Order: sequence, then C-alpha cells, then structure tokens
Amino acid sequence: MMLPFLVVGLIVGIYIASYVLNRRMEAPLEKHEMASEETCASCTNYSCGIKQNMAEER
Amino acid sequence: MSMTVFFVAIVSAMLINNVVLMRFLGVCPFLGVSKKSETALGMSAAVMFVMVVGSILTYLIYYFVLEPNDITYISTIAFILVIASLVQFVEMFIKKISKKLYKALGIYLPLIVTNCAILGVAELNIREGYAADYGIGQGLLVATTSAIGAALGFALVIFAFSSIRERLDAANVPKAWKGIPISLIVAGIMALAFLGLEGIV
Repeated sequence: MMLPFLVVGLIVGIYIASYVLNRRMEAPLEKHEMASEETCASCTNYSCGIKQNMAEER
Repeated sequence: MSMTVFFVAIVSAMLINNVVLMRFLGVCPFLGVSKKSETALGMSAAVMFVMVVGSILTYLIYYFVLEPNDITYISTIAFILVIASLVQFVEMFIKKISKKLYKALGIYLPLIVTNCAILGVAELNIREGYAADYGIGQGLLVATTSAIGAALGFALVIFAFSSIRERLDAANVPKAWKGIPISLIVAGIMALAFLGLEGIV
C-alpha cells in the first residue's frame, strides 16, 4: 500500500541529493560559454529562464 | 535475434517515426536552439547522451522495480524524476572529468530536463513491448538501439533545420514571414518530407 509513495519518495530524495551536490560543485565558469539571447528568444520554457539568470549573474 | 531487428529499430526510430517531425516531441529545443548550427550540434550531443542512458535506466527501473511490485501506474512520475536526477549526475560527472566536454555540453544539459523527447522515448520503449517480444535482456538491447535511433533522428532534424535557418537569415523573406513564421513553414515542409518515408520498414 505504501510502496508507491516509498518509491516516489526515494527517487525524489535522490533527485534532491543530486541537485544539492551539483550545486555545491564548482562549475568551470571560464570554460562556460553562455548561449546568446537570440537562441532563447523563441523558447519561453523554464530552463531558458535559468540561462538568462546565469547571464545576469555574470 | 538477427541484426535485422536492430537495423529496423534504428531506421524506424530515426527516420520513419522521427521524434520531432512525426511524434512532435521535443519541439521546444527544435525551435529554440536551432538558430545556429553550433548550438544545434551541442544540444544534439547532450540529448543523444541523456536519451540513451535515460532509456536504459528507465527500462531497468520499469522491469525490475515497478512491474514486479505492480506499481506501473507511477511510471511517468518515476521516469521524470529519474531523468532529472540523471541530468544532475551527468552534469556533475562532466564537471569533474572533462572541462572540454563541459564546455561543449554544459549549457545544454539543464535544458534537457524539460525536453519531452527524452521522456517520450523512455515511455515508448516500454509501450512497444520489447520485453514481451524478445525477453527483458534482449528487449533492453532493442530499446537501447531504438533510443540511439531516436537520438540520431533528433540530431539529424535539428541540424538540418538549423542549417536551413542560417540560410534563411540571409534570404530575402517578406517582413511578415521573417523569423518564427518562415521557420514553422520550413518545419512543416520537413515533416511532409519525412512523411514520404512512411511504410519503408
């Protein structure tokens, strides 16, 4: 009965752990080429927003 | 199992049932990252890698965790989370082992989480019933081949589309059609061209 919740909970836990670990790891930013704004102009989804935020942070 | 099965799986997934033009999956990166050939190639490489590894992982989770416990109804949510986690791990791994590869793929990896083609191919591999036809072990090989074909199909279409868009930028297109409208017309014509391949296999 509880198994579906356990499986989903476990995968959510793995996702959160992987996200936190990935965030903590230093990105080699000098090697990171930002995509131009043009490439994101026709895409309004969430991940394009991430790219734009990263560009603003720089 | 003969090599014909693998050949049919690759050709079918790449050309006849192309994820973008025939199944309409992954249309956002198809339009959003196809302005330049370079970005299209980077996205294709990242999609190819995650699609193949994601398909293998989701296949194994489905047949070794979800189906034996009769909880296949949570497959979609489980696959989404598995793919999202996989992308995080892949990004971490690439950061660690190769700065060069990170430079090439890094920016495109977070985009892949929202690419429905990855989830679509993972779901299709289950729905096609390869495990029932060939057994779980050999079914995994066919599913992986099919994922490679789908990824190659995605790469082929996005690269061809980006090349056409680059040429369209220099072309004398009526003002009202410039940009997205003419791109959508081109995408439609490409889809019609792929429709002509139907029935080959």
